[in-house]
Amino acid sequence: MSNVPTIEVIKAGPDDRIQDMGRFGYQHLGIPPSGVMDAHAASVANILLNNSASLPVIELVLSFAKWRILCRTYISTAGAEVEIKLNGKIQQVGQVFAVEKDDELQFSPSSRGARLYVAVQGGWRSEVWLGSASTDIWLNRGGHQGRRLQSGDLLMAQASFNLPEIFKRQFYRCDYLPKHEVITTIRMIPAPEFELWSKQSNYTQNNISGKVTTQSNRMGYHVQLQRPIAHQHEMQSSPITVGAIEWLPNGNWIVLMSDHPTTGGYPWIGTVITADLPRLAQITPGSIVEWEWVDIDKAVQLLLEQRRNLQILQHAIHESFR
Amino acid sequence: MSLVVPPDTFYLVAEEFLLMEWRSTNAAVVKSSIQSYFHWIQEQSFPWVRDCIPSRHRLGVQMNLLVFHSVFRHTNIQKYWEELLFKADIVYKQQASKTHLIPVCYDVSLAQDIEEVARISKVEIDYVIQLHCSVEYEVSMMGFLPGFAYMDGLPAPMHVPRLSKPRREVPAGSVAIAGSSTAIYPVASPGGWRIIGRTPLSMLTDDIKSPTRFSVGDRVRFTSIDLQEWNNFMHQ
Repeated sequence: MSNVPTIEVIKAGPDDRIQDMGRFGYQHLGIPPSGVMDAHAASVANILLNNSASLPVIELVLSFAKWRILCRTYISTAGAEVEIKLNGKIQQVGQVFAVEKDDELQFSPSSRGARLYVAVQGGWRSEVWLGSASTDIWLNRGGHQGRRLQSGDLLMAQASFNLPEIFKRQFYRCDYLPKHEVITTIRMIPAPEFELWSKQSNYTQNNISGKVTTQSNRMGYHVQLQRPIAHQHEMQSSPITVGAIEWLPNGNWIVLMSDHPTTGGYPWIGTVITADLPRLAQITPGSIVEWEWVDIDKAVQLLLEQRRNLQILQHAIHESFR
Repeated sequence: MSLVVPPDTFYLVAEEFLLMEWRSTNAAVVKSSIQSYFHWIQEQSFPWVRDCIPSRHRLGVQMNLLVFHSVFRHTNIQKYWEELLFKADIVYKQQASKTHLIPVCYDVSLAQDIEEVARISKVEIDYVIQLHCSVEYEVSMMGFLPGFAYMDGLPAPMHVPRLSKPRREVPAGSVAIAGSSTAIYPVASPGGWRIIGRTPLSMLTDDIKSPTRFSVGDRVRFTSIDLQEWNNFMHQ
């Protein structure tokens, strides 16, 4: 295996970092799971290259990143509709393309979606901490030196070999990206403190509207409700998970995202269904969202469908290798 | 022998997250039950369990649904847990827990709130320090930040409310109190607990088997060091 770096970062975006599917097994010690925000798009980017779906990818958030290619390999992307130019020539999101030494790759933020995943053949070589390559910038561990990418960084692919031409014909479009002209709907199921909320709220079942504010980040999305309902319920801290909707005393919500703390102390009124987390990850701050209650059986069915779709894609890619 | 009782409620709060809750008012029974269930689930090493997270009244289990379904097909995951834990006959076992002695410098230059705590508690600063060092605490849960341990057992005269407005940045190593608990901030972070000192020790380790200094059930004592000793520690 060569030790030649694959890319040099000429310009980095505000929050470009290496992530994988998360750091599990240590939440009882308060260590957050981290990991990609849109696990579906990250898996697609890997699968298109016949990589294992969970290999490290680079997550670009509303990024104008510019990279120089230092050695020949294949790259694929999935997620937000970013304009990608390879030596000035547009490349499709959701497709594999070959890159050669001295090529220049330029990203410009999207008309739709917030996060683009960039995979490389064999996965990005990264620091693995507690079984995961995900970057934890609080602790400066994992990913690339435990921090966001900066200009001058050199990143390396684990492996590179020739792919059959047919790979470049594969195409996958994430169909859940928020649209400008339509209000995005996010579905949720009730959580332990749902009763507290429903007793006090004058919302009828499904007319909750709230804006994802600019305070939102990888730890959580702040949701400013159209009609916030203040409360004074005191809670004991307890274990929590991604997608959990916490009801703040001022009446607004926090939806926990990948870098969430492992425990929470506000009333937990609902949880965003796992099948809608990719869409939530692709929402840009300032967007209005409609929040809709569904039941757990529906949520499980949607999640299994989404994962089955990935398996079908993976199977199709394997078949084209035979 | 400690009594172990099953949870009062099972909530499937997400497709892949089960929350069990104990409602008994007997704190000792709740504690021994949660610790016993936590250790039992950890010991089983179920391939579909990714994390098991204890707290004072709830236990959370993070799962992988696809792995579960590959073994159990379309079994309802909540019913599965209820039956499994009902049949399991989980009993209390004394767990090996560590005892830690943590040096703390209570000098006002490192303890922004110690004067205020003394004022609220109507005691001298020296007595605050003496009280804080007088007992053995028990780690009842981990959370909020990586390696942040909620230690219970703070002597009653020191029970003070959190700051009404959290600080933007609390330095790493800050020893703080709120209600009946004390804790150490492992990394610099925003925080609302009242800072009464600072330890030179790191709360994180390079040991992948136990990446944090503390875990649930550990016992902790504090010992006072002066500024000179603090400086010696920091320049070691």
